[in-house]
Amino acid sequence: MHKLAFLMLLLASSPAWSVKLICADCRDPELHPMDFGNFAYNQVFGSQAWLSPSQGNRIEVRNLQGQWAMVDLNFILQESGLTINMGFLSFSVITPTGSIEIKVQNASGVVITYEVFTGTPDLQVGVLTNEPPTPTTPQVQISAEDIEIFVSNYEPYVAPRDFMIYWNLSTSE
Amino acid sequence: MNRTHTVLAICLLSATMVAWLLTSRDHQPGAPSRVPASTVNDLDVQANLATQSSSGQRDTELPETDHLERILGIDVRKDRPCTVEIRYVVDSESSTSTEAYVCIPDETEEQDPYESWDASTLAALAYGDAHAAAVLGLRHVVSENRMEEVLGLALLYRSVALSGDLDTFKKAIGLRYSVVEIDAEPNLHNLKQLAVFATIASRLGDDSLHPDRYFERLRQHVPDEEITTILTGVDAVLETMAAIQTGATGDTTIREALENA
Repeated sequence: MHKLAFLMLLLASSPAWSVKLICADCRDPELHPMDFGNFAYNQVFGSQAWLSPSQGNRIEVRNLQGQWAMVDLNFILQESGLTINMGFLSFSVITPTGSIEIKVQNASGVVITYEVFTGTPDLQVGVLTNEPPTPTTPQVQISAEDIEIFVSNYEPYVAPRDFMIYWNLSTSE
Repeated sequence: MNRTHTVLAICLLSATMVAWLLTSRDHQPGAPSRVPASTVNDLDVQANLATQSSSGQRDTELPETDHLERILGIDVRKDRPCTVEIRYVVDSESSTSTEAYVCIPDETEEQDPYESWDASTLAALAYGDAHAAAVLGLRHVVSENRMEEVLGLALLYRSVALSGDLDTFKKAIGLRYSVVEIDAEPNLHNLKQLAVFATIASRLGDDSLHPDRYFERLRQHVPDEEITTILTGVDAVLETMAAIQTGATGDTTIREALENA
């Protein structure tokens, strides 16, 4: 009897089977957990996808340093108005919201959860291989004069008037 | 044996009750629920998800079971563009090795020569070269400096105006703007930019970015005035894009799209 109970406990507590993947571009999971989540997303939903959604609920991603993070990809569904409750059984009409929740847990147990919409193109993993942009402006206290000087550096392909439109649009928070 | 069955039945009943209590406590009616990706085949939501996603893109086609095959012990897509292999990773701390899968691309991606050019070279070309504007713009949009980011956006709009290639927006989304919520906090900056990209694309005849879903989410967090500001800004950007297109190429496609809208 004790053996049976122990077996049940063991089965209940053992982690679900996961797919282990190697991510060459993933950085330290403590500092960049989204590298691991983005990588897993790309393997299932990206332009070069090779895994099916059936593997998406538990993916163990390891970088070349042997550091790892566990990733769960979940579809987010919306429960609509109709719910039939029969005792402890309830039935609801559920519809997809069109978004996916990515949950990343690193070796320290820290969990980050974020959401992207389905159909999102490949997500960024690791540093950009492109040349980093050269800082030309101060990070804080940006004045109109700063913008003018900054924009003038990039003439003629961005007219100052155009730039102001984009600036106003992006600072409308 | 009967006693064992009784105890087992009681355990199962208790577990079911506890699970029900936990789910009914945590889950409010109408609130979104998270469903593991593995269960999507059983939920008949594939079609809906695929419909909601970008049309015609490979990344949105959720494979059915008969599109899978078993390779090296795991189920993989038959249409995968890569070769599945098993490699070993050595844990630097414990010095133990772990078996893990990789999928090596069948075709090596050719290096884009523009990627190796510096900003000043790209800037010199960006006036009339859509690809140069896109490469330089994508470098800038990832910057944490708001001004750099805005400049990047300006270059991306120029690139799309010159080429009509809306994939440039999609690349920017993948690089920077894809996350709409982190730890239950909405990312309004990304949501607004996604709404802008999607609305511009829609006005140019491509609805694959689904502007409605971004505005629907934004309306839960921002007043209507901000939505109006975004739409007004989009109009201004489109006007500028039309002017860029006509000025640099003589083409009037964007102008016509705006007039016909």
